[in-house]
Amino acid sequence: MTLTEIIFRFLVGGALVSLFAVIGQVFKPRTFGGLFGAAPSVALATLGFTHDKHGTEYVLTECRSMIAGALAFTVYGAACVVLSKRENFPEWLAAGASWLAWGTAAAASIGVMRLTGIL
Amino acid sequence: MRRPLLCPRGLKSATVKDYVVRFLFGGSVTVLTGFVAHRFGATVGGAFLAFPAILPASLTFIQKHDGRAAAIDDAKGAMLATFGLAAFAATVLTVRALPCALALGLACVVWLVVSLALWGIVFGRERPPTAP
Repeated sequence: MTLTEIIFRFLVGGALVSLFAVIGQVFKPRTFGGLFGAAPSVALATLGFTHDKHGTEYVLTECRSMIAGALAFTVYGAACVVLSKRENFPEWLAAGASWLAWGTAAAASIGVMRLTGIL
Repeated sequence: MRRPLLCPRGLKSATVKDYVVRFLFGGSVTVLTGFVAHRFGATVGGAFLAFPAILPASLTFIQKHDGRAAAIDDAKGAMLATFGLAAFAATVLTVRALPCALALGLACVVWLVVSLALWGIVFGRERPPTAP
């Protein structure tokens, strides 16, 4: 990646993530605002660049894999809910520790998709 | 039946620091995704397109301002929208013949529709809290 691309990705990604976070913040109840916590902000900021640079087939491979990432995100959300219910567990630690759950679930999903020939 | 309400006052509870943290976090994750795809290929990089980028900062912020129960509710909502995220990716796969910008726009609409429909099914039937 060139420095220009890194800067451009950073600015577009930061802007999209912030935008969805603000949208989520102005809605009540919190379960509704929470929907925007799983908005496709990183995908939107990335897939356009990827298409220009690597072409359609590369984007399609990323999208197949993104489905595995989305399933892992469901596991991440469940881990956040379970850990957040523990009174002595700070929220930042619950959210951070849940990344381990995301990584494990994503790796497992990709493994299953590879075994079944989807990836 | 419970309906979502627009409540712009929610913006006032955030400080400049909160917005800056979210911007830096989102930008960093997007750059990281590019590096991962560059280093490990499209399969691993693609999974990072559904990386929980906003949620950690949002949950920390919500717990600080609205309490632990509100943060748990936020995470429950995000869980539902992850199915929309999978539908987003499936849509891009399905409409591969369309120009990229149009495919991404359509996928965004599908993400929103799936997420709203699931919210309506799971939480829309809850009774709104009554004022004390």
